[in-house]
Amino acid sequence: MGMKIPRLSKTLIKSLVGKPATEMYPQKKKTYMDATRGKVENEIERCLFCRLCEKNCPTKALAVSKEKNEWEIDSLKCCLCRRCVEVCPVKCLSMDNVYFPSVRTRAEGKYLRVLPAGVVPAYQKAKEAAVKPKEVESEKPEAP
Amino acid sequence: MAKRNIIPFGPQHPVLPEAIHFDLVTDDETVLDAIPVIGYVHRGLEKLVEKKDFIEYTYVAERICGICGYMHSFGYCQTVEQVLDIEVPERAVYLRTIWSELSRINSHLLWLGFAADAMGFESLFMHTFRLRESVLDIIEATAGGRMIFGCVKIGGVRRDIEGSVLRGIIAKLQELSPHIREITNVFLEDYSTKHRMEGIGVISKEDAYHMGMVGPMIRATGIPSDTRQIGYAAYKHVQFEPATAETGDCYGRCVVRVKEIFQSIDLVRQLVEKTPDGPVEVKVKGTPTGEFFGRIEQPRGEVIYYVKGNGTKFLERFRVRVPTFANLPGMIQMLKGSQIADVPVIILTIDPCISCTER
Repeated sequence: MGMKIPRLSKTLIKSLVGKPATEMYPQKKKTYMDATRGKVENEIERCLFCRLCEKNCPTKALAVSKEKNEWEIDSLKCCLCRRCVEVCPVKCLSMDNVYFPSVRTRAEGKYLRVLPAGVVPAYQKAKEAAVKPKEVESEKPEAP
Repeated sequence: MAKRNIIPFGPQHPVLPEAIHFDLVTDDETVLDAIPVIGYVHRGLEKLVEKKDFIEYTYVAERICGICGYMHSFGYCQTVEQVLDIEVPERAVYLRTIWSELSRINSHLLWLGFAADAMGFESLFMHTFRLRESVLDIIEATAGGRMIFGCVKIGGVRRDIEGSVLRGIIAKLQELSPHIREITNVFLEDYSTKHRMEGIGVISKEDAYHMGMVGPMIRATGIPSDTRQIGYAAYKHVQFEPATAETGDCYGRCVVRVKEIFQSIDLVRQLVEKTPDGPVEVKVKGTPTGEFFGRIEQPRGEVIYYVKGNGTKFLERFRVRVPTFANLPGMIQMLKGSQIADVPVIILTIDPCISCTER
């Protein structure tokens, strides 16, 4: 009876002399794809606080307050579906390709973004900009 | 005659990725009967259509299953689009089909890994998963997620793939193909893997047909039943024959899945070559009124979606008949008369997905 050579031998020898298939993680940083859905970021200076993202969030992970100029995301609720980024009218929301860091408590998983004091909110700027041309336009049709 | 025993199998068992319980009625080492108990991972996802509107439900549908989740969102959207009478742009249809084939390659490689693990062939399991990682990288680069693609929406797709990236996928898969062949040859030719699969869990053509088995299970008995043949999505534009085997045993199922990996690689190539340019989504107007039955082919077999809308934004009824549910009676039939040591391999060859079954 001839000895049976296992079919995996070739692969085993290759992996014995070759490089490891895995990466040495803590020493070598993991690089993510550009397309990876990691976490949601808000560029708060441009935010209109319109609450569209909050209304469209399927997991209700977002809380937006226009009075306080606050935008909060609960990373433990967020399912990274990217819907908020899609519905955002000014595109101040963006998807970063690095994941939310792991946390020990629920409170730590919430990330609050507050508009810095003294910065004029984008919605007020938009309002001021919108008011002026409208007045001009409304005058024009009346003239003839 | 030895005394009859009942041996509990699961819900926690090394071979089971998910929770299902069997009472195995045994006589000595032979299994006489198997009584399945399900209900450990029921989440009431079908009831959730009353709480989440039909557009939001796409995200829920994607989370029905952990492996073929993409297929669920794809099938759900396709069925709702039929109710809404939406014509999806051609490019979106092609992209959806490409992703579904990538998902099939991923799922079959995962199954091969689990099969090696069930046989106790640990290093083969590791090598299969090494190859699967490359497929997951392709998925992550195109879809943004590894398991949850999040690409399909009602009326099209949420993400476009550039032409150069599409051609890159073919190149990557062609490069991967010989490596996959090297590993699958071990499954099909090695003495020890053949020994664990040949002649184990045999089901006849007639039994498989009468019990309504689907997917690789029925194809392994020689019946070329493949829902992709009805030509949904972009499958009407590509050439392929259902992969079949004649034996109807565990080895036959392995042969079918191995053939399907290479078939899917070829299908991706055909699809990429034919992908037209154009928009990837259309605007959704109105709310679903009426009902529709949709069918698609998952890696595990045919899945049926039933959607009933009543004119509001919440669906009235949503139902999924998943392939594992259709394969369970056949699996019980296969377990009868088998040896207790073969039970893990037999259970694994139907590729059970309990989260799908219980939703």
